[in-house]
Amino acid sequence: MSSTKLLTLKTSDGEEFKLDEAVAVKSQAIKNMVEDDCVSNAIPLPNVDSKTMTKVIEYWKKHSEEGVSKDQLNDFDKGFLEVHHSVLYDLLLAANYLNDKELVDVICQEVADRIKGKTPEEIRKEFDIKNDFTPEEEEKIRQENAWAFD
Amino acid sequence: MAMSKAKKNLPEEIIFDILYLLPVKSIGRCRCVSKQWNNFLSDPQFIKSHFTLHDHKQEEKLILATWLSQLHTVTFYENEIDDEIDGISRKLNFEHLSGNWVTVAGSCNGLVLVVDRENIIFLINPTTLKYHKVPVFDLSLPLLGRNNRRSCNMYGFGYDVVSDDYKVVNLSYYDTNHSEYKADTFVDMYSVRKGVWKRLETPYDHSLTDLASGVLVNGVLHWLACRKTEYSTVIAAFDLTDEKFLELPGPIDLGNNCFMCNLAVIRGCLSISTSISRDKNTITFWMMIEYGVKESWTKFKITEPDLDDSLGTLLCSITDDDLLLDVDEELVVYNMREEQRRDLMIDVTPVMYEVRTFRESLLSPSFGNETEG
Repeated sequence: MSSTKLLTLKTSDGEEFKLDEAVAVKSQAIKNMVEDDCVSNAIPLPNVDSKTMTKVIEYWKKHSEEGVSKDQLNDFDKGFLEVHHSVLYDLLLAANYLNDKELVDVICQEVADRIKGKTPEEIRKEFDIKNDFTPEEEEKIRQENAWAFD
Repeated sequence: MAMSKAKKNLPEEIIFDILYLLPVKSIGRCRCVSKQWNNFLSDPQFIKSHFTLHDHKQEEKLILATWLSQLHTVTFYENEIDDEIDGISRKLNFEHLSGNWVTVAGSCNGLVLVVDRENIIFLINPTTLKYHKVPVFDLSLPLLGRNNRRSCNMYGFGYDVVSDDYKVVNLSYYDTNHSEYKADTFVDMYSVRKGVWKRLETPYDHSLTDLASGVLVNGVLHWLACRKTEYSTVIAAFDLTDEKFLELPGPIDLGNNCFMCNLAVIRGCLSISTSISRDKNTITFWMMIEYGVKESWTKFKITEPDLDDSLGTLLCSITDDDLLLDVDEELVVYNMREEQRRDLMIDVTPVMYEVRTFRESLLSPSFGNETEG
Protein backbone atom coordinates (compact mmCIF):
# COMPACT_ATOMS: atom_id res chain seq x y z
CA MET A 1 0.00 0.00 0.00
CA SER A 2 1.63 3.24 -1.08
CA SER A 3 1.94 5.90 1.57
CA THR A 4 -0.65 8.63 1.35
CA LYS A 5 0.90 11.78 0.05
CA LEU A 6 0.16 15.04 1.79
CA LEU A 7 -0.25 18.20 -0.21
CA THR A 8 0.08 21.72 1.11
CA LEU A 9 -2.33 24.35 -0.12
CA LYS A 10 -1.69 28.03 0.53
CA THR A 11 -4.62 30.43 0.45
CA SER A 12 -4.72 34.12 -0.47
CA ASP A 13 -4.33 35.23 3.15
CA GLY A 14 -1.20 33.15 3.66
CA GLU A 15 -2.67 30.25 5.60
CA GLU A 16 -1.49 26.74 4.81
CA PHE A 17 -3.66 23.62 4.70
CA LYS A 18 -2.29 20.12 4.66
CA LEU A 19 -4.47 17.59 2.92
CA ASP A 20 -4.30 14.02 1.61
CA GLU A 21 -3.60 14.06 -2.11
CA ALA A 22 -6.40 11.56 -2.62
CA VAL A 23 -8.87 14.10 -1.23
CA ALA A 24 -7.34 17.20 -2.77
CA VAL A 25 -7.63 15.86 -6.30
CA LYS A 26 -11.39 16.35 -6.12
CA SER A 27 -10.23 19.66 -7.51
CA GLN A 28 -9.48 19.08 -11.15
CA ALA A 29 -7.14 22.09 -11.04
CA ILE A 30 -5.07 20.55 -8.24
CA LYS A 31 -5.20 17.18 -9.96
CA ASN A 32 -3.71 18.71 -13.10
CA MET A 33 -0.93 20.28 -11.11
CA VAL A 34 -0.15 16.96 -9.43
CA GLU A 35 -0.02 15.22 -12.77
CA ASP A 36 2.19 17.92 -14.20
CA ASP A 37 4.41 17.35 -11.21
CA CYS A 38 4.64 20.93 -9.98
CA VAL A 39 3.70 20.31 -6.37
CA SER A 40 7.01 20.09 -4.64
CA ASN A 41 6.19 23.13 -2.54
CA ALA A 42 2.90 24.51 -1.33
CA ILE A 43 0.25 24.93 -4.04
CA PRO A 44 -0.72 28.61 -4.16
CA LEU A 45 -4.43 29.39 -4.34
CA PRO A 46 -4.52 33.17 -4.61
CA ASN A 47 -8.24 33.23 -5.41
CA VAL A 48 -9.39 31.43 -2.28
CA ASP A 49 -9.27 32.76 1.29
CA SER A 50 -8.74 30.55 4.33
CA LYS A 51 -12.33 30.86 5.56
CA THR A 52 -13.66 29.51 2.26
CA MET A 53 -10.93 26.88 1.96
CA THR A 54 -11.86 25.52 5.37
CA LYS A 55 -15.41 24.97 4.19
CA VAL A 56 -14.33 23.39 0.92
CA ILE A 57 -12.06 20.97 2.75
CA GLU A 58 -14.89 20.15 5.15
CA TYR A 59 -17.02 19.21 2.11
CA TRP A 60 -14.25 17.20 0.47
CA LYS A 61 -13.49 15.27 3.62
CA LYS A 62 -17.12 14.33 4.23
CA HIS A 63 -17.54 13.22 0.64
CA SER A 64 -14.38 11.09 0.85
CA GLU A 65 -15.39 9.31 4.06
CA GLU A 66 -16.03 5.61 3.92
CA GLY A 67 -19.30 4.08 5.02
CA VAL A 68 -21.38 7.23 4.70
CA SER A 69 -24.87 6.55 3.33
CA LYS A 70 -26.50 8.60 0.59
CA ASP A 71 -29.06 9.90 3.09
CA GLN A 72 -26.34 11.01 5.46
CA LEU A 73 -24.53 12.81 2.66
CA ASN A 74 -27.77 14.56 1.66
CA ASP A 75 -28.31 15.69 5.23
CA PHE A 76 -24.75 16.93 5.40
CA ASP A 77 -25.10 18.83 2.13
CA LYS A 78 -28.31 20.47 3.31
CA GLY A 79 -26.69 21.76 6.47
CA PHE A 80 -23.51 22.67 4.65
CA LEU A 81 -25.40 24.91 2.23
CA GLU A 82 -27.47 26.68 4.87
CA VAL A 83 -25.28 29.75 4.82
CA HIS A 84 -25.59 33.40 3.98
CA HIS A 85 -25.60 34.07 0.25
CA SER A 86 -22.27 35.90 0.35
CA VAL A 87 -20.66 32.78 1.84
CA LEU A 88 -22.39 30.71 -0.80
CA TYR A 89 -21.05 32.86 -3.62
CA ASP A 90 -17.52 32.72 -2.16
CA LEU A 91 -17.86 28.93 -2.08
CA LEU A 92 -19.14 28.87 -5.63
CA LEU A 93 -16.32 31.05 -6.91
CA ALA A 94 -13.78 28.88 -5.08
CA ALA A 95 -15.30 25.63 -6.34
CA ASN A 96 -15.27 27.05 -9.85
CA TYR A 97 -11.66 28.19 -9.55
CA LEU A 98 -10.63 24.83 -8.11
CA ASN A 99 -12.65 23.14 -10.83
CA ASP A 100 -14.65 20.75 -8.68
CA LYS A 101 -17.68 20.09 -10.85
CA GLU A 102 -19.61 18.17 -8.22
CA LEU A 103 -19.37 20.97 -5.68
CA VAL A 104 -20.15 23.61 -8.32
CA ASP A 105 -23.30 21.71 -9.32
CA VAL A 106 -24.47 21.31 -5.74
CA ILE A 107 -24.03 25.01 -4.98
CA CYS A 108 -25.62 26.10 -8.27
CA GLN A 109 -28.70 24.06 -7.42
CA GLU A 110 -28.86 25.73 -4.00
CA VAL A 111 -28.62 29.19 -5.56
CA ALA A 112 -31.30 28.23 -8.10
CA ASP A 113 -33.56 27.03 -5.29
CA ARG A 114 -33.14 30.39 -3.60
CA ILE A 115 -34.05 32.31 -6.75
CA LYS A 116 -37.19 30.28 -7.39
CA GLY A 117 -39.60 32.36 -5.39
CA LYS A 118 -38.09 35.77 -6.04
CA THR A 119 -39.46 38.69 -8.02
CA PRO A 120 -37.37 40.27 -10.79
CA GLU A 121 -36.55 43.19 -8.48
CA GLU A 122 -35.28 40.86 -5.78
CA ILE A 123 -33.24 38.91 -8.32
CA ARG A 124 -31.63 42.11 -9.60
CA LYS A 125 -30.64 43.01 -6.07
CA GLU A 126 -29.29 39.53 -5.41
CA PHE A 127 -26.98 39.54 -8.43
CA ASP A 128 -26.32 43.24 -8.56
CA ILE A 129 -27.86 43.66 -12.02
CA LYS A 130 -28.96 46.95 -13.48
CA ASN A 131 -32.48 47.25 -14.83
CA ASP A 132 -31.86 48.47 -18.38
CA PHE A 133 -35.48 48.37 -19.52
CA THR A 134 -37.35 51.59 -20.13
CA PRO A 135 -40.68 51.69 -18.24
CA GLU A 136 -42.51 50.92 -21.50
CA GLU A 137 -40.19 48.01 -22.31
CA GLU A 138 -40.52 46.65 -18.81
CA GLU A 139 -44.30 46.80 -19.02
CA LYS A 140 -44.20 44.92 -22.33
CA ILE A 141 -41.91 42.19 -20.99
CA ARG A 142 -44.07 41.80 -17.91
CA GLN A 143 -47.16 41.39 -20.07
CA GLU A 144 -45.52 38.79 -22.27
CA ASN A 145 -44.51 36.84 -19.21
CA ALA A 146 -47.60 37.47 -17.11
CA TRP A 147 -48.14 33.70 -16.97
CA ALA A 148 -45.04 33.42 -14.77
CA PHE A 149 -46.38 35.70 -12.09
CA ASP A 150 -49.38 33.94 -10.61
CA MET B 1 -6.83 44.05 7.85
CA ALA B 2 -10.03 45.80 6.91
CA MET B 3 -12.86 43.48 5.87
CA SER B 4 -13.97 44.29 2.38
CA LYS B 5 -17.71 44.79 2.19
CA ALA B 6 -17.87 44.57 -1.57
CA LYS B 7 -19.82 41.52 -2.70
CA LYS B 8 -17.97 39.54 -5.31
CA ASN B 9 -20.11 39.21 -8.38
CA LEU B 10 -20.66 35.82 -9.93
CA PRO B 11 -19.30 35.63 -13.45
CA GLU B 12 -21.84 35.49 -16.26
CA GLU B 13 -21.23 31.85 -17.24
CA ILE B 14 -21.99 30.69 -13.73
CA ILE B 15 -25.15 32.77 -13.57
CA PHE B 16 -26.33 31.29 -16.84
CA ASP B 17 -25.55 27.77 -15.59
CA ILE B 18 -27.74 28.52 -12.60
CA LEU B 19 -30.57 29.79 -14.78
CA TYR B 20 -30.75 26.44 -16.58
CA LEU B 21 -31.70 24.85 -13.27
CA LEU B 22 -34.73 27.04 -12.71
CA PRO B 23 -38.28 25.81 -13.26
CA VAL B 24 -40.32 27.26 -16.10
CA LYS B 25 -42.18 29.92 -14.12
CA SER B 26 -38.97 31.27 -12.62
CA ILE B 27 -37.52 31.60 -16.11
CA GLY B 28 -40.48 33.76 -17.07
CA ARG B 29 -39.80 36.04 -14.13
CA CYS B 30 -36.07 36.15 -14.84
CA ARG B 31 -36.74 37.41 -18.35
CA CYS B 32 -37.95 40.61 -16.70
CA VAL B 33 -34.64 41.19 -14.92
CA SER B 34 -32.61 42.75 -17.72
CA LYS B 35 -32.30 42.86 -21.50
CA GLN B 36 -29.37 40.49 -21.46
CA TRP B 37 -31.21 37.96 -19.33
CA ASN B 38 -34.28 38.31 -21.56
CA ASN B 39 -32.24 37.65 -24.70
CA PHE B 40 -30.53 34.66 -23.16
CA LEU B 41 -33.70 33.16 -21.72
CA SER B 42 -35.76 33.65 -24.88
CA ASP B 43 -33.24 32.10 -27.20
CA PRO B 44 -34.65 28.95 -28.86
CA GLN B 45 -31.40 27.12 -28.10
CA PHE B 46 -31.72 27.88 -24.40
CA ILE B 47 -35.36 26.80 -24.42
CA LYS B 48 -34.53 23.51 -26.09
CA SER B 49 -31.61 22.75 -23.73
CA HIS B 50 -33.68 23.76 -20.72
CA PHE B 51 -36.46 21.42 -21.79
CA THR B 52 -34.08 18.51 -22.28
CA LEU B 53 -32.50 19.10 -18.88
CA HIS B 54 -35.80 19.19 -17.04
CA ASP B 55 -37.81 16.66 -19.03
CA HIS B 56 -37.00 13.66 -16.91
CA LYS B 57 -37.49 15.28 -13.56
CA GLN B 58 -40.75 16.99 -14.30
CA GLU B 59 -44.04 16.10 -12.73
CA GLU B 60 -47.04 15.50 -14.92
CA LYS B 61 -49.97 17.82 -14.84
CA LEU B 62 -53.35 17.23 -16.40
CA ILE B 63 -55.03 19.24 -19.07
CA LEU B 64 -58.67 18.62 -19.76
CA ALA B 65 -61.78 19.89 -21.46
CA THR B 66 -64.90 20.31 -19.36
CA TRP B 67 -68.55 19.90 -20.24
CA LEU B 68 -68.70 23.68 -20.43
CA SER B 69 -66.11 23.56 -23.23
CA GLN B 70 -63.43 25.16 -21.13
CA LEU B 71 -59.81 24.10 -20.83
CA HIS B 72 -58.37 23.52 -17.39
CA THR B 73 -55.00 22.37 -16.14
CA VAL B 74 -54.75 20.35 -12.96
CA THR B 75 -51.77 20.16 -10.59
CA PHE B 76 -51.62 17.26 -8.17
CA TYR B 77 -51.09 17.67 -4.44
CA GLU B 78 -50.90 14.98 -1.79
CA ASN B 79 -53.79 15.06 0.60
CA GLU B 80 -53.51 14.27 4.30
CA ILE B 81 -56.48 11.99 3.86
CA ASP B 82 -55.03 8.70 2.75
CA ASP B 83 -57.40 7.74 0.01
CA GLU B 84 -57.59 11.07 -1.78
CA ILE B 85 -55.35 13.15 -4.00
CA ASP B 86 -56.10 16.82 -4.47
CA GLY B 87 -56.03 18.35 -7.88
CA ILE B 88 -55.96 22.12 -8.05
CA SER B 89 -57.44 23.24 -11.34
CA ARG B 90 -56.87 26.42 -13.26
CA LYS B 91 -58.90 27.64 -16.19
CA LEU B 92 -56.87 28.57 -19.24
CA ASN B 93 -57.61 31.92 -20.77
CA PHE B 94 -56.02 32.74 -24.07
CA GLU B 95 -55.57 36.27 -25.29
CA HIS B 96 -57.91 37.04 -28.19
CA LEU B 97 -59.51 33.59 -28.15
CA SER B 98 -62.96 32.86 -26.79
CA GLY B 99 -62.55 29.16 -27.42
CA ASN B 100 -65.24 26.53 -27.17
CA TRP B 101 -62.89 23.68 -26.57
CA VAL B 102 -64.17 20.22 -27.26
CA THR B 103 -61.13 18.06 -27.82
CA VAL B 104 -57.75 17.67 -26.14
CA ALA B 105 -56.13 15.41 -28.64
CA GLY B 106 -52.45 15.12 -27.92
CA SER B 107 -49.57 16.32 -25.83
CA CYS B 108 -45.88 16.46 -26.62
CA ASN B 109 -42.96 18.33 -25.07
CA GLY B 110 -45.21 20.64 -23.14
CA LEU B 111 -47.34 21.50 -26.17
CA VAL B 112 -50.96 20.37 -26.45
CA LEU B 113 -53.28 19.93 -29.42
CA VAL B 114 -56.79 21.23 -28.82
CA VAL B 115 -59.78 21.54 -31.13
CA ASP B 116 -62.74 23.86 -30.84
CA ARG B 117 -66.38 23.40 -31.72
CA GLU B 118 -65.80 24.54 -35.30
CA ASN B 119 -63.10 21.91 -35.79
CA ILE B 120 -60.35 24.55 -35.77
CA ILE B 121 -57.11 23.08 -34.47
CA PHE B 122 -54.80 24.95 -32.11
CA LEU B 123 -51.43 24.06 -30.70
CA ILE B 124 -51.08 25.56 -27.27
CA ASN B 125 -48.51 25.79 -24.53
CA PRO B 126 -50.67 25.61 -21.38
CA THR B 127 -47.85 27.09 -19.30
CA THR B 128 -46.91 30.17 -21.30
CA LEU B 129 -50.38 30.51 -22.86
CA LYS B 130 -48.87 30.96 -26.33
CA TYR B 131 -50.82 29.39 -29.16
CA HIS B 132 -50.67 28.67 -32.85
CA LYS B 133 -53.78 28.39 -34.96
CA VAL B 134 -53.43 25.62 -37.49
CA PRO B 135 -54.81 26.75 -40.85
CA VAL B 136 -57.78 24.83 -42.22
CA PHE B 137 -56.92 22.32 -44.93
CA ASP B 138 -58.89 22.99 -48.10
CA LEU B 139 -59.44 19.26 -48.56
CA SER B 140 -60.72 18.69 -45.03
CA LEU B 141 -64.19 17.22 -44.67
CA PRO B 142 -66.92 19.73 -43.87
CA LEU B 143 -68.85 19.08 -40.69
CA LEU B 144 -71.90 18.15 -42.72
CA GLY B 145 -71.30 16.66 -46.14
CA ARG B 146 -73.48 15.57 -49.02
CA ASN B 147 -76.58 13.55 -48.10
CA ASN B 148 -76.32 15.10 -44.67
CA ARG B 149 -73.56 12.76 -43.64
CA ARG B 150 -71.67 13.98 -40.62
CA SER B 151 -67.90 13.92 -40.71
CA CYS B 152 -65.99 12.32 -37.90
CA ASN B 153 -62.51 13.41 -36.91
CA MET B 154 -59.67 12.00 -34.90
CA TYR B 155 -56.39 13.73 -34.24
CA GLY B 156 -52.84 12.95 -33.27
CA PHE B 157 -49.89 15.18 -32.45
CA GLY B 158 -46.20 14.54 -32.02
CA TYR B 159 -42.62 15.55 -32.66
CA ASP B 160 -40.47 14.28 -35.53
CA VAL B 161 -36.93 14.34 -34.22
CA VAL B 162 -35.41 13.77 -37.65
CA SER B 163 -36.81 16.91 -39.22
CA ASP B 164 -37.13 18.80 -35.90
CA ASP B 165 -40.77 19.38 -36.65
CA TYR B 166 -44.11 19.07 -34.86
CA LYS B 167 -46.78 17.31 -36.86
CA VAL B 168 -50.54 17.12 -36.58
CA VAL B 169 -52.45 14.18 -38.03
CA ASN B 170 -56.17 14.31 -38.77
CA LEU B 171 -58.03 11.11 -39.58
CA SER B 172 -61.49 11.79 -40.96
CA TYR B 173 -64.36 9.95 -42.58
CA TYR B 174 -68.08 10.28 -43.13
CA ASP B 175 -70.27 8.62 -40.56
CA THR B 176 -71.77 5.57 -42.20
CA ASN B 177 -74.96 5.64 -40.12
CA HIS B 178 -75.09 1.86 -40.10
CA SER B 179 -75.52 1.73 -43.85
CA GLU B 180 -73.83 -0.77 -46.09
CA TYR B 181 -71.55 1.98 -47.29
CA LYS B 182 -68.01 1.53 -46.04
CA ALA B 183 -66.38 4.85 -45.37
CA ASP B 184 -62.98 5.77 -46.68
CA THR B 185 -60.69 7.26 -44.09
CA PHE B 186 -58.72 10.34 -45.07
CA VAL B 187 -55.35 10.99 -43.52
CA ASP B 188 -54.18 14.58 -43.47
CA MET B 189 -50.93 15.73 -41.95
CA TYR B 190 -49.84 19.24 -41.01
CA SER B 191 -46.20 20.22 -40.56
CA VAL B 192 -45.79 23.13 -38.15
CA ARG B 193 -42.39 24.02 -39.55
CA LYS B 194 -43.58 24.12 -43.15
CA GLY B 195 -47.01 25.47 -42.29
CA VAL B 196 -48.74 23.21 -44.83
CA TRP B 197 -51.07 20.23 -44.93
CA LYS B 198 -50.81 17.22 -47.15
CA ARG B 199 -53.04 14.23 -47.77
CA LEU B 200 -51.60 10.79 -47.16
CA GLU B 201 -52.92 7.25 -47.22
CA THR B 202 -53.94 4.57 -44.81
CA PRO B 203 -54.41 0.89 -45.57
CA TYR B 204 -56.90 0.63 -42.69
CA ASP B 205 -60.52 1.37 -42.06
CA HIS B 206 -60.60 3.71 -39.09
CA SER B 207 -64.36 4.14 -39.00
CA LEU B 208 -65.17 0.94 -37.17
CA THR B 209 -63.30 1.62 -33.95
CA ASP B 210 -64.16 4.22 -31.32
CA LEU B 211 -63.11 7.79 -31.98
CA ALA B 212 -59.83 8.24 -30.14
CA SER B 213 -56.77 10.44 -30.28
CA GLY B 214 -53.50 9.05 -31.52
CA VAL B 215 -51.34 7.63 -28.75
CA LEU B 216 -47.79 8.95 -29.07
CA VAL B 217 -44.86 6.67 -28.27
CA ASN B 218 -41.39 6.89 -29.79
CA GLY B 219 -42.31 9.43 -32.43
CA VAL B 220 -45.15 7.17 -33.64
CA LEU B 221 -48.90 7.77 -33.33
CA HIS B 222 -51.06 4.73 -32.60
CA TRP B 223 -54.73 4.02 -33.20
CA LEU B 224 -56.81 0.89 -33.16
CA ALA B 225 -58.14 0.30 -36.66
CA CYS B 226 -59.51 -2.46 -38.84
CA ARG B 227 -57.72 -4.34 -41.55
CA LYS B 228 -59.76 -3.98 -44.68
CA THR B 229 -59.28 -7.59 -45.67
CA GLU B 230 -60.46 -9.67 -42.75
CA TYR B 231 -61.75 -6.89 -40.50
CA SER B 232 -59.80 -7.74 -37.38
CA THR B 233 -58.88 -4.87 -35.08
CA VAL B 234 -55.17 -4.14 -35.05
CA ILE B 235 -52.76 -1.50 -33.81
CA ALA B 236 -52.12 0.95 -36.63
CA ALA B 237 -48.90 2.89 -36.14
CA PHE B 238 -48.25 6.15 -38.00
CA ASP B 239 -44.56 7.00 -38.07
CA LEU B 240 -44.11 10.77 -37.93
CA THR B 241 -40.79 10.66 -39.74
CA ASP B 242 -41.70 8.24 -42.54
CA GLU B 243 -45.23 9.63 -42.66
CA LYS B 244 -46.89 6.30 -43.21
CA PHE B 245 -48.78 3.57 -41.43
CA LEU B 246 -47.37 0.25 -40.25
CA GLU B 247 -48.95 -2.44 -38.15
CA LEU B 248 -47.71 -3.18 -34.68
CA PRO B 249 -48.18 -6.68 -33.26
CA GLY B 250 -50.42 -6.85 -30.22
CA PRO B 251 -49.98 -9.08 -27.17
CA ILE B 252 -50.13 -12.79 -27.91
CA ASP B 253 -53.00 -13.13 -25.40
CA LEU B 254 -55.15 -10.91 -27.56
CA GLY B 255 -54.42 -12.94 -30.64
CA ASN B 256 -54.99 -11.05 -33.83
CA ASN B 257 -57.87 -9.09 -32.54
CA CYS B 258 -57.69 -6.08 -30.25
CA PHE B 259 -61.42 -5.65 -30.30
CA MET B 260 -62.94 -3.51 -27.52
CA CYS B 261 -59.58 -2.36 -26.21
CA ASN B 262 -58.04 1.02 -25.43
CA LEU B 263 -54.59 2.31 -26.17
CA ALA B 264 -52.69 4.49 -23.72
CA VAL B 265 -49.17 5.46 -22.68
CA ILE B 266 -48.06 3.95 -19.39
CA ARG B 267 -44.59 4.82 -18.07
CA GLY B 268 -43.60 5.92 -21.56
CA CYS B 269 -44.59 2.57 -23.10
CA LEU B 270 -47.45 1.79 -25.45
CA SER B 271 -50.11 -0.08 -23.57
CA ILE B 272 -53.36 -1.75 -24.50
CA SER B 273 -56.09 -2.40 -21.96
CA THR B 274 -59.40 -4.14 -21.76
CA SER B 275 -62.17 -4.25 -19.21
CA ILE B 276 -63.72 -7.23 -20.84
CA SER B 277 -62.70 -10.20 -18.81
CA ARG B 278 -64.22 -12.99 -16.80
CA ASP B 279 -63.44 -11.11 -13.61
CA LYS B 280 -65.73 -8.14 -13.38
CA ASN B 281 -63.54 -6.15 -11.02
CA THR B 282 -60.41 -6.36 -13.12
CA ILE B 283 -58.80 -4.21 -15.74
CA THR B 284 -56.16 -6.08 -17.65
CA PHE B 285 -53.51 -4.25 -19.57
CA TRP B 286 -50.31 -5.01 -21.40
CA MET B 287 -47.29 -2.74 -21.67
CA MET B 288 -44.92 -3.02 -24.60
CA ILE B 289 -41.74 -2.71 -22.59
CA GLU B 290 -39.50 -2.75 -25.65
CA TYR B 291 -41.06 -0.81 -28.45
CA GLY B 292 -41.81 -2.94 -31.50
CA VAL B 293 -40.88 -6.22 -29.84
CA LYS B 294 -43.91 -8.51 -29.71
CA GLU B 295 -42.49 -10.69 -26.94
CA SER B 296 -42.03 -7.69 -24.68
CA TRP B 297 -45.76 -7.20 -24.14
CA THR B 298 -46.08 -7.69 -20.39
CA LYS B 299 -49.39 -8.29 -18.67
CA PHE B 300 -50.63 -6.40 -15.63
CA LYS B 301 -53.89 -6.56 -13.78
CA ILE B 302 -55.70 -4.01 -11.71
CA THR B 303 -58.12 -5.76 -9.42
CA GLU B 304 -60.23 -3.54 -7.26
CA PRO B 305 -63.43 -4.56 -5.58
CA ASP B 306 -64.79 -1.09 -6.30
CA LEU B 307 -64.51 -1.76 -10.00
CA ASP B 308 -67.23 -4.36 -9.75
CA ASP B 309 -70.03 -3.49 -12.11
CA SER B 310 -68.27 -0.28 -13.07
CA LEU B 311 -66.94 0.72 -16.39
CA GLY B 312 -63.26 1.37 -15.96
CA THR B 313 -60.88 2.73 -18.57
CA LEU B 314 -57.16 3.13 -18.21
CA LEU B 315 -56.26 6.68 -19.28
CA CYS B 316 -52.55 7.26 -18.62
CA SER B 317 -49.86 7.15 -15.98
CA ILE B 318 -49.05 10.22 -13.90
CA THR B 319 -45.99 8.87 -12.10
CA ASP B 320 -44.10 5.60 -12.39
CA ASP B 321 -46.48 3.91 -10.00
CA ASP B 322 -49.68 5.94 -10.31
CA LEU B 323 -52.20 5.23 -13.04
CA LEU B 324 -55.12 7.47 -13.91
CA LEU B 325 -58.38 5.68 -14.52
CA ASP B 326 -61.84 6.72 -15.53
CA VAL B 327 -64.20 4.71 -13.37
CA ASP B 328 -67.84 5.52 -14.06
CA GLU B 329 -66.97 9.03 -15.19
CA GLU B 330 -64.87 9.81 -12.12
CA LEU B 331 -61.11 10.19 -12.16
CA VAL B 332 -59.38 7.66 -9.96
CA VAL B 333 -55.68 7.23 -9.25
CA TYR B 334 -54.48 3.68 -8.80
CA ASN B 335 -51.08 3.02 -7.24
CA MET B 336 -49.62 -0.13 -8.78
CA ARG B 337 -47.08 -0.75 -6.06
CA GLU B 338 -49.43 -0.42 -3.10
CA GLU B 339 -52.40 -1.74 -5.10
CA GLN B 340 -54.44 1.05 -3.72
CA ARG B 341 -57.04 3.23 -5.32
CA ARG B 342 -57.48 6.92 -4.48
CA ASP B 343 -60.11 9.34 -5.64
CA LEU B 344 -58.92 12.46 -7.38
CA MET B 345 -60.63 15.46 -5.83
CA ILE B 346 -60.87 18.22 -8.39
CA ASP B 347 -63.29 21.08 -8.71
CA VAL B 348 -64.10 20.59 -12.38
CA THR B 349 -65.94 17.90 -14.28
CA PRO B 350 -63.86 16.71 -17.18
CA VAL B 351 -65.09 15.11 -20.34
CA MET B 352 -63.38 11.81 -19.67
CA TYR B 353 -61.81 11.04 -22.99
CA GLU B 354 -60.44 14.59 -23.26
CA VAL B 355 -57.96 14.28 -20.39
CA ARG B 356 -54.23 14.28 -21.13
CA THR B 357 -51.04 14.74 -19.21
CA PHE B 358 -48.42 17.34 -20.02
CA ARG B 359 -45.22 18.76 -18.54
CA GLU B 360 -44.35 22.41 -18.24
CA SER B 361 -42.04 23.76 -20.91
CA LEU B 362 -41.11 27.03 -22.53
CA LEU B 363 -41.41 25.65 -26.05
CA SER B 364 -43.25 27.78 -28.55
CA PRO B 365 -46.12 26.26 -30.52
CA SER B 366 -45.06 28.12 -33.64
CA PHE B 367 -41.67 27.97 -35.26
CA GLY B 368 -40.77 31.61 -35.37
CA ASN B 369 -44.17 32.37 -36.90
CA GLU B 370 -44.43 34.16 -33.63
CA THR B 371 -47.41 36.42 -34.11
CA GLU B 372 -50.16 34.82 -32.10
CA GLY B 373 -50.82 34.75 -28.37
